[in-house]
Amino acid sequence: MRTVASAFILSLVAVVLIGMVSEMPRFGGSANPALATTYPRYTGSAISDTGAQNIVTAIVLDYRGFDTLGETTVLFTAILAATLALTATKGKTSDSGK
Amino acid sequence: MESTIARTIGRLVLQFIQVMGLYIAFHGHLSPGGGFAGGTVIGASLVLAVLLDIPFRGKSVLKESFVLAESSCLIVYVIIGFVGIAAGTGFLSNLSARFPPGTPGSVLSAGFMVPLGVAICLKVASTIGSLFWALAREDTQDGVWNA
Amino acid sequence: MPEMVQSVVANHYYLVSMLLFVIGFHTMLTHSNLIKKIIGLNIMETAVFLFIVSSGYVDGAKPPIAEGPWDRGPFVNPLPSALILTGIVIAVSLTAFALSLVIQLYKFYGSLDADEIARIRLKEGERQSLCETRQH
Repeated sequence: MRTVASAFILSLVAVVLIGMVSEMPRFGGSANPALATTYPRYTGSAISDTGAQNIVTAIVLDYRGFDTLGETTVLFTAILAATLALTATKGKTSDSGK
Repeated sequence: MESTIARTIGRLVLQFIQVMGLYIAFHGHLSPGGGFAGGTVIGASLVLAVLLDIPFRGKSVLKESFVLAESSCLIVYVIIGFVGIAAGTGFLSNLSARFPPGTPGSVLSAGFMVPLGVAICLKVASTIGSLFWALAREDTQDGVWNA
Repeated sequence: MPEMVQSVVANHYYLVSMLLFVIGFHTMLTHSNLIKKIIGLNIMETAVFLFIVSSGYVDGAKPPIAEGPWDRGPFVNPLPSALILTGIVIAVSLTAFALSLVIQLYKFYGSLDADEIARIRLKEGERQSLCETRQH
């Protein structure tokens, strides 16, 4: 029963994904819509705007530095949550004397 | 782990792994890598220290130093962002807030990227180290991990 | 229909990440062990990262590291790589939290099997409602 239902759902998902692959623009094409506006601006003036030679680092730390701040907060929250979950007291609290 | 060979080689190799991680983090604006990759390498060295039970100086204060590293790196990031506001431009601005640009190609260049890279490296290293430390200590008696 | 097959064949690099996604989804659906479900989630995340990063490729371009201010050679699109860096960190945080929750579940119920835990909870629920109806 579980295998039949999972096979049905997986075939639906696979059909949708293959349809999506056929609709994507050509792999490696230089006239893709994704390369239209921000790509020439970032790669053309990365060194003069930031002084860094690694364009990925220039994007992560300078052009989109605020996203890195949010991600640092996600790391902090994840460690907080994992440490709290690991050191929680075991079992239910007793009702005597409360 | 109780193996003598593994522990001896681990003690020798641990410092070189950490130097490699710091190199990747410091040269983030010149070669592929950056803060996150360097932090992962240093975190892996902390995992090695837990797995092989390598004694190092400062092992007793490791838990407090993890907490200190996490909080202080986030505060350093925000303070560097506020320097941009104090200079008149927006939050987290690099050359507009008159950070020194340097010559492209040298290590001390690109404004605030080196301090930010080091802060992110220490933060990711303490994340991975403290996670593995907390998960591995579930299985210990008196702080010694029996594999 | 024939142009759909032609475009799928032209983009056959994306099919690998779709295959990985379906494999991860299958792992998450069929196995009842909790650790295997977390592994399936990780495989699905890896497939999505692979898809997004590989969509930034440009034919005959070099990696996005300039050798100097004069370098304007066609670069590979650096934007997907920069965005996936954040995504990878979020995936690691999610796995860490999920594993610590699994540890607490094992300590409380004594089993790592999702069906077993559901059965224990069902029996606990029946016993609780039976005790409450007997008290009233």
